[in-house]
Order: sequence, then structure tokens, then C-alpha cells
Amino acid sequence: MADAPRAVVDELTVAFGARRALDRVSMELPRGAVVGLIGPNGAGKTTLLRALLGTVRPTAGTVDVHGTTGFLPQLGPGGWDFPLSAADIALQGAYRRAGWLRRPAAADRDRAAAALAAVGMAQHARRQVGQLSAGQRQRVLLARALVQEADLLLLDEPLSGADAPTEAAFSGILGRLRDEGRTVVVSSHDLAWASARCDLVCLLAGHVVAFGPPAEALDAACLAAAYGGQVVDVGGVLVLAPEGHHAH
Amino acid sequence: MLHYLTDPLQYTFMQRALVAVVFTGLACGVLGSYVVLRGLAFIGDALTHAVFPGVVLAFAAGVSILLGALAVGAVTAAGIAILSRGRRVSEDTAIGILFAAMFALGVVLVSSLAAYQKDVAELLFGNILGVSRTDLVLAGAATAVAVCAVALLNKELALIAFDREMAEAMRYPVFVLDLVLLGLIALAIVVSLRAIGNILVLAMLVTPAATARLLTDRLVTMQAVAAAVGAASGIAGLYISFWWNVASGGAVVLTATAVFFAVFLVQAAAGARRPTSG
Repeated sequence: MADAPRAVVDELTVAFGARRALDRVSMELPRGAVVGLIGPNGAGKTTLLRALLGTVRPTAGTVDVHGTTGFLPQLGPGGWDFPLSAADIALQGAYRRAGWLRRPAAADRDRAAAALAAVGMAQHARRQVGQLSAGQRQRVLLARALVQEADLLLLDEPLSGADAPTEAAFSGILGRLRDEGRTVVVSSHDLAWASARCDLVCLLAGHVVAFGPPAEALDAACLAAAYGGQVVDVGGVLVLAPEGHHAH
Repeated sequence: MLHYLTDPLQYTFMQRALVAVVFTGLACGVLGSYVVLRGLAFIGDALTHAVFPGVVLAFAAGVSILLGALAVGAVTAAGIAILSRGRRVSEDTAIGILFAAMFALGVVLVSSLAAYQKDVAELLFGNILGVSRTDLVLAGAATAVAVCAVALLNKELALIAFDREMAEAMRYPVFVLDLVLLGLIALAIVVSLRAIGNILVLAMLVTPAATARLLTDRLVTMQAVAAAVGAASGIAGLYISFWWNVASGGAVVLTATAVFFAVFLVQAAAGARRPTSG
């Protein structure tokens, strides 16, 4: 079953009260792939990630994931003054392996240190996270997700506000994960990044507008359908489509 | 000089009081770290009010007020968590409704039990003379439970406090752990009732932990320092209360507050000397 898909989403509908965040979404996520999740605000990107994680229950349809999941959340401001070091946070990825009432094993501490090194944060491992830049914090969260050693890694807008070294670290690591046969789903607003770095792109606007290689999924007609030209009305909210990316 | 320290120790009530404030410092320091880090000061304040009817009922029934507070604290901590699960009632609102109502119930109980009205001040502000052997045993057991529970669940509680969404994604029972944390905070409040009193417990939850946060960037160190600062403030405050003949709860809280401002000012002065830091 080496070629069986990593995850199958079938006719997934998620409704919050009367509002449908996702409407009959279907897709197969293959093994060893970087999948970009692209769409305007309110398109249901985070909801789809949560459905794959299992923290949002489908209103209808099914989500089947073969393997373990890892996650990088959009962390809101305010939490960063917490008295934990970068190494502490990377180690959180191993908590489930450690189990209740136990401290993570030495092997997991090594994994956390290796993950921090992989994202270029080894020299900042002992610093309190509040002292790090926004890009460095994102890399610490990526390290934590790596420590989870998941088969399916779900990254929620990891590159919003990222600096150049952070973007480079992400791109290198995504390639490595793909080569290890893992599946990475990255939600993003950045069409240029997605078309350059992703194997597959899911263009989402409450429903699946397009799913396939970036060249097909991100063509002008699909983008116009997802973003509705320059300005679109999504659930009553006017959304500005990013300008200058339509040529990609 | 030494007799200032040793003289009070010949009184049994003072010996018990000293043990009681050390328990208070330990329990409130360890749990107070989460109160400070998660911004739960409002919940903490509300919980202290909520246990009041339990205190009044236990007092009237002649059992340890700590038992009454414990029972009511557990029930209200559960109530707040359950009420705030619904999408239409925010946690703040649930606290406002439930905990104020509990305090009102306490007030009604006191007013209907005419014989006890003169004891209200003792219930609200603590009475260090009134620490019974039973109180001490209960406070010690509650402190042990609170400190051990935090020691065992610290990594999960810290993860939830730092990154709730990640904790949910890792399939931790976040709601249950929130309940456990609220229950443990209620325990710390119960431990403190006799020595510090209902109204001033909040200071013991917040002030030593806030002092500790100024001194360290490590969670476990913060908890240990908060416990030490709380216990030391308790002991120093009790001696002040003994020699100056002022209310023990107030003296302990003001000592803790003085420690906080001393640390704060020293750090501010040090920061002013090192303008490039940060």
C-alpha cells in the first residue's frame, strides 16, 4: 500500500451554525508531496487543516488520514512572553510520545536540538521565545512540528511575515520532508511562493476551485473564480486579491 | 535581637499560623504562576468570592471552613467551565454571572444567620488565631495535592497556557485540563483562607508569581521562586503582624507587595543603566 494516499477527503462539509466554511470538499493527498492551500480570507483553509487534524468535526462527508499528524498553528500575539525557551517549545512536539506524567526522553531532547539546528536556530535554543524575531519564532514552531515526526504535517500560514532566512529554512525542510515520503500541507496567501515550491496546489474558496500542479491550479481563470477578480465578496466580507500575482 | 524571632514561637497559635502561611505561599506560588501567565486574575478573584457561601455554611455547621470552601469551590469551578463551553456565553460572562451570584448567596446566608454576623469580618479577612489543628491538616493535604498535581501535569498545563490550539491539535483533553487547573487554583485559595482571608487571597496568587516572573525566564524556576517569595512574605508578614499588632492577612499581603516593588524598582534601575539591553 506504498502508493495509497496519505489522506482522503470525501465530500467534506463543515458548517458553523448557518455558515458553511467548507462545502463538499474532496481531494486526495498523496505521499511525499508538498501541497499548497491557497485562497482568500474566509476560504476555509484553517477549517480544512483542522478537519485533517480531527479537531473540527465534519458536518457531512469524511476525512481519512493514514498516519500521524503534526501541526504549526497561527499563533496569535500575546503568548510569546511565556517563560519558555526555544528548546522547550521544540520539545513540546515530543510530549505525546513521552506520555502523561513523564518527561520527554533523552532521544527526544536530541530530536528537538536537531530540529532547531535544521531550521538554523541552534544558537538561540536557550533564549526565551519573546526575545526572538517573528521569523525566528516561526522557525521554532516549525522545529516543534518536525519533532512530532508526523506523516502528515499541517502548517497554517507559516510564512506570513517571514523574513528571507525563514523562508529559505522552510523551503529546504519542505523538500526534505517530501523526500522522506511525508506529506506537507501549507496554507498561504503567497501565490508566487506556492507556484515555485509546491508539488500540488488546492485553490480553495469554501469549495475546491482547482486542485493540481501549480501551473494548472493557479491559472488566471481559476484565480478569478477563487478571488473574483480584484475584489471579492466572501461571506459578506470584501477581500482584496493580492495584486501582481495573477501573471503567475 | 534574636528574641524578636523566637519569642512568638512559644505560642501555639503562632506556630500553627507560620505553618499555615508557608502552605499558602507554596500552593499560591505554584498555581499563581499559571494565574499570572494565563491572565486568570479575574477568574482567581471570582473563585475567592465564590467559595464564600461554602465558608459561611461550614462555619454555621461547625465544621472546618476549608471543607466548605473546598466543596463549593469545586462545584463553581466546574460550573464556569461548563457554562463557558457554549458559544453564546463567554468565559468572562460566565464568571461574572456565576461567581458574583455565589458571593451574593454567601451574603444572604450570613444575613439570615443573625448569630454569625459578628464573625463575617473573620471569614472575609482571615483570623490567624483561629487556625485549628484540623485546618492545618487540611491545608497541608491540599497543598500537597496542588503542588504534586502541578508537578505531574506541568508540561501539559504549560503547553495549553502557551499554545492552546497546538494542545488541541495534539489531541489533549484541553477542557478537562482547564477544569483541573481551575480546581487546583480553588485548592490554593482554600489553603489560604484561614491565614489570609477571603478578600486578600488574590494577592497571594498574583503578587509572588508576578515577582518571580520579573526574576526568571524559566517556568519551573518561576514557580519555585514564586513559592519561596510567597512563603517568605508570609513568615515576615506574620512577625510584623505579631509585633505591631496588625491584621495578619493584610501584613502578609503588604509584605509580598513590598517585595514585588523592590524587585521591580531594582530591575528598572538596572535597566536604566543598561539602555542597550532587551
